[in-house]
Amino acid sequence: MSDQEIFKQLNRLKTIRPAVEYSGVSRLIIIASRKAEPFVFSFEDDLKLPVAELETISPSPKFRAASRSAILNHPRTLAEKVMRVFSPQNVVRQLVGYSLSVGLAVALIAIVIGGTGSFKAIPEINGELASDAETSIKDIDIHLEEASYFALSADKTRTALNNVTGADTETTTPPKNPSNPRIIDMLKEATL
Amino acid sequence: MKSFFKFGLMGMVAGLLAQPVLAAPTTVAVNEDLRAGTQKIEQSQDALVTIEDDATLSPAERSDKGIAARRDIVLNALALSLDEVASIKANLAKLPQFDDKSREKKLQDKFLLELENFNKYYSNKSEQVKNTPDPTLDAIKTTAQEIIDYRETVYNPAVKSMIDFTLFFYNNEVITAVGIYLDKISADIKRFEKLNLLKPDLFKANLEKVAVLIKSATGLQKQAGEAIFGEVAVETPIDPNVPITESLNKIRSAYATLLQTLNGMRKSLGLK
Repeated sequence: MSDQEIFKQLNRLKTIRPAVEYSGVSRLIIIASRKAEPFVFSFEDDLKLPVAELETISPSPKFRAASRSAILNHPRTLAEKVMRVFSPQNVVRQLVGYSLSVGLAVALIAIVIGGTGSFKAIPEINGELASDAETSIKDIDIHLEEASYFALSADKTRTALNNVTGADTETTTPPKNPSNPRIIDMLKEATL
Repeated sequence: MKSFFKFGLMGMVAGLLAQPVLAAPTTVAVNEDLRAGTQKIEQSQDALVTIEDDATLSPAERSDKGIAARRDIVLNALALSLDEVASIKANLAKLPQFDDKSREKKLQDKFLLELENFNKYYSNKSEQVKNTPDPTLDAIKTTAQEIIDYRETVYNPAVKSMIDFTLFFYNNEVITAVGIYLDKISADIKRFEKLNLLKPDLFKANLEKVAVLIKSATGLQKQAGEAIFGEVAVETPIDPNVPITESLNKIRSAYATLLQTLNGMRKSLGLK
C-alpha cells in the first residue's frame, strides 16, 4: 500500500459515522440500561450465543481474492525460488543497493586518506608540530649543557684539589676551553 | 546537520591521524647528583679559605682545621668523580645496540672497561682517605696531587672521548628527526598552497635555509665521525667535539627556523 493510499484511508476514517439505525438502537439500549436490572452473567446469552455467531464470520470477497493470488504466486519449488532471486527485477534492485554502499565506503576512505590534508594539517600546525620543535630545541640545549658540564666539572675539581696541595693557581693547567666565560670567572675568583 | 557531519568527520579524521609523527629524542637532564657534587666541592673549598683567613685561630688550630678541610675537599672530589663515572656509564648504556665486532661496539666496550677501572681507582682512594681520619698535611697533599695527575692524564681525556661518542649518536638521532620534521612541514605547506590558502612560495626561503642548515650539519657530523672512528692516525687530529657541537647548533637553528615558519603559516591561515 502506498503512502498516498494510507493517507486516503485515514482521511476516510474521519467521515465515518454510525448508521442511523445503529445510533437509534444504541440510544434505546443506553436509556433502557439506566432502568435495567443489575447485570447478571448468563452463559447461554452472554457467551454461547455470541461465540456461535462468530462461526458465520467470513472474509470479504476482496481479501479472499488477494490472499488466494498471494498464495498461488508464492514460489513452491527450488527452481521457482532461484528464478525469483535471479529475476531481472531483483538483480537490478540488489545491484543498486550494493553499489550504493560500496560507493559510500570508497568515498569515505578517499576522504580519510587523500582529501583531508587540510583537516589533518590544521590541528598539527596549530599545536602539535610547534611543541615538537620546542621540545627538540630544549633537548638539544640539555645535551649540549651536559656535554660542556664535564669540562666545567673537570676544571672545578682541578681548582679545588690544587687548593689542597697549595699549588699556586697561576701554575695550574689552563682550562681546555678558555672561551667558556664561566670557567674564566671561576679561575679569576680562585686567584683572588 | 550538514555542518554537524562535517565537524564529526573532521574530528574523526583528526583523531585517526593525530598520532605522533616524530619520535622526540630522549631527554636527559644534567644529573642532579653531579650538580650537588660540584656544589659540595665549592662549599668545602670555601670552608678552607675561611679557616685560612680566620685570624682568631691559633696556628695549631688553623693547621688542624686546615688539614680536616683539605681532607673534605679530597673526599668530595672523589665522590663527584664516582658520580661522574656512574652518569657516563648510564649514558653509554642508553646508546643504540651496536653490531658485534663493529667499530662502535669495540669503542663502547673499551669505554665501559675504562669506566670500570676509574670506578675502582676512585673507590680505593676514597676508602684510603676515609680510613685515615687524621692525615698529615703532607699525606693529604700527596693524595690530592695523585688524584689531580690521574684525572689530568688518564681520566679527563677518556671522559672527553666518551662524551663525544655519546653526543655523536645523539646528533645522528637529531639529524634524522629534523629531516622528517622538515618533510612534514613542507608537505603541509604544499597542501595549503594547492587549496589556495597560502600564497605560493611564501615560505620557500625559510625551507631552503633549513635544508642548507641540515646539509651542513650532516657534513659536520661526518667530520666528527671520521675523527671518532677513523682508524688511520691523522697528522693534525681534530677534536670531534667542535664539529658535533657546531652541527647540533645548526640543527637547533633549523628547528628555530621551522618554528618561525609554523608561526608564519598560522598567521597566514588566520589561526590563533
